[in-house]
Amino acid sequence: MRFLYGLSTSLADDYKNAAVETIMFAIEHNFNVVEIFCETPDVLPDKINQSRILEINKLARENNLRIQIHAPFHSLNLASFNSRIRKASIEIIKDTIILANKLRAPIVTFHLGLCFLPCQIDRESALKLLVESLGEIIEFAKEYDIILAMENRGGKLDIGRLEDLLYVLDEISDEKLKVTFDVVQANAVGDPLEYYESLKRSIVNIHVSDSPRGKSLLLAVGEGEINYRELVTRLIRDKIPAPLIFEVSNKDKAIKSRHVLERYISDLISE
Amino acid sequence: MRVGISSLVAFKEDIENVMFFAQNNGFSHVNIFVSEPHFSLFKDRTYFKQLRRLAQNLGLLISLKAPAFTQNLSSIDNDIGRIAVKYYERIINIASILDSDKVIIRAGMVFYPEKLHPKETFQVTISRLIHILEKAKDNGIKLLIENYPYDFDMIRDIDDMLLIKKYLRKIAFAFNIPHLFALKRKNFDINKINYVDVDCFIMGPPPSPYHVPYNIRELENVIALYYDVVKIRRKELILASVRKDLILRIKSLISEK
Repeated sequence: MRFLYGLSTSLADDYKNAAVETIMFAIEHNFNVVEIFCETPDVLPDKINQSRILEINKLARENNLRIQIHAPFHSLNLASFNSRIRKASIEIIKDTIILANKLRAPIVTFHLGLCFLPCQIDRESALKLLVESLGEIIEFAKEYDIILAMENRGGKLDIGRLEDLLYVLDEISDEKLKVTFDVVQANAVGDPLEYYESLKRSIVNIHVSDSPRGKSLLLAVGEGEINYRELVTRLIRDKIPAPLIFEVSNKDKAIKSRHVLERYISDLISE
Repeated sequence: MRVGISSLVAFKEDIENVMFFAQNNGFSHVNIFVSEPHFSLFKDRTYFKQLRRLAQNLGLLISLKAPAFTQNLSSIDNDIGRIAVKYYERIINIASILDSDKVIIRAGMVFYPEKLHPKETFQVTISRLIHILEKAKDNGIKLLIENYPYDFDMIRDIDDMLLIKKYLRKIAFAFNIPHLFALKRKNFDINKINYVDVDCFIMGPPPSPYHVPYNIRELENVIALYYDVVKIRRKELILASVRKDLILRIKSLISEK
């Protein structure tokens, strides 16, 4: 089994040109995937210009690079009690799906929402609203043959803990709804391996960075305390076909992370 | 000194119940926490007029607190910004029907996209705030900005208030004491509060009355901070918590002092 290694555009130096800069770096250093984070001004879903789309498609096609999309998430809340906010959030995710289609990206990663006070008091109702929002988005994604990958989150205000994802997967059993497993976010609130075991059947994408236990820093693999050696072993054992996207604080850390993971794999093979 | 309560105290109940609770416990004012399903901005005018009449009959004043979760006045996404402005405009209209004297808002939040554009973010925030201030003024309502303790918040402490006051000379503030406490500022000069127009104080359990779970162990320290502040400034107090027992406890702790 060969892993696909990828880069998030969040590690670009020039945010105004984050997508192309990251793609050029990925080509130069033989990465397989680029995950475009759609909150930089060059790739806002409803504002990106046609020439930028053509440029990205050309670079990706000529260099056999897979493009994935990460939807905007700040100021979005699919579980909001405010129907207007929820509607706007749904529209923004739909715009992102359209962009994914234009960029021939098979996966759109997104965040489920935020849990501010009304939700903290009445989480059950918030989760019902979330499921309602997701129903609409999934139907839309189907029209474009896009997989929606909800990301686990560990922030205090995030909806995205293991129990939230399991609830959603239980409520919506749909082949177009999958999971982006963010290892460091799982590490912030629990045991990443436990998250992995519970979610593995739905994982289609993995965000990789390292951190001390209980934190969500963006260190290179090997610089924190996450047991990546064991995680890689299980990914191979379970034949999980998910690219490993490095969401680290700079490009050097992405190269270092890939190197460490390849060493773990090489050790496994020699064992 | 007038003491009011946030309607959060009965978030799963009707506002009417909060009013009776306020009257029975000697509060003079109900600050309505505007959030579905507790309080909907989209009920008809008759409902708001009935609410106003009930408050008058019970001898209570009403104000509105517009919590902003994703309604972000600082968003550089124009769609989100427009939603936020419309939301505050609607609240000001309702406040006017309710005969409220003030609306408390959150200034804006600076997330990743906004951090990439600090100058533009500040400009759009100010221009949206000016627009809302005008709207409030036209309706005879005082617009108050509340401080929040989170890293992404535009207004966190008195220095932020002083900065924004340079651009919005007539802006006033709802000074949230537990939020200030949560910042854990060392060598903080509380006397600076003399330079900003504080309309009311908000007291509740730390780290935030609007975020559960609470850290009750720190409550007495927050009350101590409140007393440091009221030595300098004395203004109306609004107590906020989702728990009735805590509201009454804070009220009694403050009365004891």
